[in-house]
This record gives sequence, C-alpha cells and structure tokens, in this order.
Amino acid sequence: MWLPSRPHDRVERQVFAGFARSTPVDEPLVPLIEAVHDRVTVEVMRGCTAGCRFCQAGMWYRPVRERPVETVVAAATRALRRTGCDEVSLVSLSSCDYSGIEAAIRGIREQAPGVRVSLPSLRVDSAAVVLGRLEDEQRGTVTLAPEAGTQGLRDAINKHIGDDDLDEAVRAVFAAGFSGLKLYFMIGLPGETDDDVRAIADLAGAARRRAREVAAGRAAVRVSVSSFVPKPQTPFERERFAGEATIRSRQDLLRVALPHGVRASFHDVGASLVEATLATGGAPAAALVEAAWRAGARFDGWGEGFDRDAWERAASETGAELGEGGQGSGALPWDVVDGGVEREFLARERDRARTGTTTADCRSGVCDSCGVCREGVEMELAV
Amino acid sequence: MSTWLLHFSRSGAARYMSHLDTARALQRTFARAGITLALSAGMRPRPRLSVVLPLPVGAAAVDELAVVETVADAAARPVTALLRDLEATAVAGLQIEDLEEADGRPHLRPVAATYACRVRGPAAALTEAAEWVAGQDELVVERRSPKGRRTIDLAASLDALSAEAASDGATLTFTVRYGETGTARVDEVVGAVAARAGVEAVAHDVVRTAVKFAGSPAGEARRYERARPSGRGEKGVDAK
Repeated sequence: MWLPSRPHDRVERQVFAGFARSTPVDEPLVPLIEAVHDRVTVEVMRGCTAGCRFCQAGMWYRPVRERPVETVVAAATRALRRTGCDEVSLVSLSSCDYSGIEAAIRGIREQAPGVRVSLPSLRVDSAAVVLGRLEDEQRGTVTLAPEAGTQGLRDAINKHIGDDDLDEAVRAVFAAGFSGLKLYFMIGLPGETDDDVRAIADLAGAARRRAREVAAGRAAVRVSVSSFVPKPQTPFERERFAGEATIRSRQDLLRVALPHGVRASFHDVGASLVEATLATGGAPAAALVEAAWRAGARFDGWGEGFDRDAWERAASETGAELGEGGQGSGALPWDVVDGGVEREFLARERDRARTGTTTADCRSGVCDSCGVCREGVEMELAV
Repeated sequence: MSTWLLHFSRSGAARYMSHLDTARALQRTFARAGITLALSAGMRPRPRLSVVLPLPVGAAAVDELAVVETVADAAARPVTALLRDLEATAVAGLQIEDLEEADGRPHLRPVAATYACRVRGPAAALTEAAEWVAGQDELVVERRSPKGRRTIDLAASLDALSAEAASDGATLTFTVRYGETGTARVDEVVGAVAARAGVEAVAHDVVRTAVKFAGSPAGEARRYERARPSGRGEKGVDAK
C-alpha cells in the first residue's frame, strides 16, 4: 500500500496467479430493475498481450491467463440456469483473442440453446473468425477499433491491422446480419499528421461503401473519435498530450473530411484536458482534484455533469495547467509503483514506435522480454 | 405451443417494480424453473409473456394475470409440477398463485379494477369526502403528462367509492371502470377525496384487490374473474 507519509516506498503490483484455475462467478445477483449490462458475464481471460502502445490495461494486466473452455462453459450454463437470463457475455480485455473462443461459444450454445452469446469488444484482426461463429444471430451494432487511419500510424501504436483486414472485417460484420458498425479512432497520437487524420475519413468512407455493398440500405457506419491521453506504465507515458488547439483543429478537419452518411461523435476536448492532467499527475494532482471538488465539480465522467469552469478555477488556484506539461526524461511520479513490466521494455517500445516498428504478440511464441513473467506468474492459454 | 394464464400477486419491495421490470422478472422465473417460453417472430424475438393490466408503481396486488405461451414440452409436465417449480424460483414479493392452461390465445380486455388504500386524516372528514365524491355526476380533474395536459371526468369511471375509519385515517375502497378513453388513476381519486377533506393527498398501502377481464378471440363474453385464493392473498398485502 502506498502511503502519502512514505511517498518513496516502492509498491509492487500483485498478480492473481491462480486466475485460470479459479471458478468464475456463477451465481450473480439478479437486479429486479433493468440494469446496464443486464446479462450473465463470464470472465474468460485476464491480461492482453497485443501490445498496443497507448493502452494502460494491456501493459498493466499482463500476463495473459485464460480459463479452460470447460470452466467457462460450465459457469455460463450454471449462471444462465440460476438467473433466468437469456444472454451471456464473455468478457475480458479482448475476448476475441481468447484461444478457446470458438469452442466456448459452441459449448454454451449446445448447453443452452437459444441463448445469445455476446462479446464486449472485437479486435479487427480476429473479428471475422468470431463473427463467422455468430452468423446465425440477428444482432445490432458491432464496434471495431482500428484507432488510426494510416498503416504507418497503426504500426507506430502497434495495432496489427492492415487496410485489407479492416475491409474483410466490415464485410464479415454486415454479412453476419449486423445492422450497424461503429469504428473507434484516436486523434492526437504521437507523430500524427493531418494526413493521418484525413485517412480516418477515407477509411470510414471505404467501410461505408463496403457496408452498402453487402447490406444495402440497412447498413449504418458511425465513427467515434477520442483524444489520445498519455497513460502511466505504457510506452507512451513520456509523450505529451497534443493540446487543445491541435485536438480542436483535427476534429474540425475530420468533420469536414468525413463522407456523407457517416455519423461521427467526438470526445469532449475539455474532458480530455482534465484526463491528461490527472493521468500523468503525481501526488500534487490530488490538490487539483480536491480544489475542483470544492469548486463544484461532481460526476465529471458524465458529459452533462462535466463542468470545465470548475476545473479551470481549480487549476488556477493550484497552479496546474490543464493538458500542459510532460514528463521529460527524469523520474516519473509513478516510479514508486512496480507494475511488473520493466522500464527498459517500455523505453524500447517507445523507440520502436518512433521508427514504426511493430512488436509481435507474445502469444505467437516470440518473447520480447517485457519482464512480467516470473516463477508462478506466466502466460496460461486455454488451448 | 401452449397458452397459460398465470395468476400472481405482488407485495413488499416488489411493489416498486415497473410494468416492464415485472414482466421481465416473470420471464426469468419461467427460465429458472426450466420452462421454455415461446418466442415472438421477427428481427428481435421476445419471450411471449404479457402482464395483462399494468400495475401502478408502488401498488401491491393480490391477483394479477399474465398470458404466457410456452413451447410444447412444458405442457407435457403436470401443472402441479410447473407450479411447484415456478413457486420455488419466484422473486421475493412476486408470488406465483396459480397457473391454468388457456383455451386458445385469450385476448383479455380489462373491464374494471378495485383498489384499497389508506389516507391519513380525520376519519369523519374523509368519510364525508368519499361520500361527496361518490355522489358527483361529474368531477373533472386535470391530468398532466409529457404529451401535455388534458381533463378527465373521474365520475365517469369511478364506482363504489367508500371510506372506512382506520387507526390514523380512513381506508378508501373503490372500483375504476375501463372505457375507450381510459380510466381514473388511484392518485386522482385519492386527490379528489383528500382535497374535499382538506388533508394531504398521499395514498398509503395501495393494493389492487381485483381485476375483471372480458373478451376472447371468438368475441365470446367470457370472464376471467377469480376470488382471491383462500389463505394466499393476504400475504400479498404489504402490512407496512
């Protein structure tokens, strides 16, 4: 535990090494009023080794630990029977990467015919395979996350997606009967240019054309654009937030460039400024949070509750500059926290980002020595 | 496929469930009992279970009705076994009272509903007010909704309003009839009585004690009227 009174004591992240052998929750509470995510959920896997360089969860929750397929099927079946729900969601950071995903879906369908199986997120490169398994279902919208518009920038952030992969995924989505597709992108990534942003519009336009070709009139393509915020314990932890002016100009650029028929939504720039300040803040950031609270900030995660003026007043009071500053090359506020991944690995990944060099997923058998594995803590795959 | 009439009561915290949440909880009760509901056709199949007359949020009830369609294998089990399994897996406060197989798919039309509730205040004033409201040929109140305002004549749908002295006020009992233009709501009836009596218009311990239905697919004047099952209905009333 980190204590403010002992700020330099090192804190080591604990890893649940027994996760793969543990029993999932199979007797969940059943709400009597409709709740968000009102369905059975079974956690199939912890960790993700895809290695996206902006992603904190992907770095923090390593290594991958997968539950056996029979454990997942048994838990899902029992939970469905106990709750009376008609849908089960197989959850993890990236459920399509769960090595037993097809067997798990098939097993659940055999044990509980008619039940819907949903996945919270689909990675573009494996989406087509999984969507093939879901082909007999009538469904709503699928979300895919290419994150960047050009191959060069996707290589820089280590998203292993080619334009052909995305095209194939879009085709698979609409051929499987889905009526909508949402594409997630980020702007403000390190090394991004205006051309990268225009390429998002090109990609969305190509997806829209492919969707209309496969699904005709019922195809809807939407684009959701967030702002890159550097996160601690990631290869991009020392990068700078792009700043309000850059984010706004790139949002405007994209609004103009997006083709007719593609709806877009953008993350609030003011909220991104606060996120960037808090994400890379050290202990003094606590004073900013308290000052903002005293200034009236409440429930800031909800768009209608976000009060930028309160944060501006708090920043003025505490001397902080929202969205400004960076970590430079010196000590980091979170150096006291040992997340398992070695600092040398993060630095190496940052260098590779600058040269557009990708790093393979360690599931492929190539170890890049991130440093998280040790005796008793190692990758465990279901298949 | 088989069609069933499910009789259930509602009490305790379950009174605060909405109509849709009540229907969903009943659907899940069937699933937990291992009784497979038939699904509607279309893009998004839904279980075929409908609560015939929505209950006001906050109201208990002693004998409500839902029409349920199950796949064929449910009908192969004895009704007593189905009932036992339903009762064992029911939600607290949403008590399964009876299950009877219907002849075809009944199109039930609510004709009238009877309510009881307690209003605090001087019993004499409340009794006099109830008599006055019951004696009116016309009693217009304004109803506000997101769609705007409109006026309702309570007298047109109100039957058998009476008041009986209770420990801290009076227990109102009344029946509302359902017509083409809707019916009077509990809060409107209580509001009219309370305004006349000069007391706060708050209904406590609201219970729907009976519902009358009419109608069938063939247009036959068939009624599903049931007396409260002996010894079961009382526990459906919240005693707060």
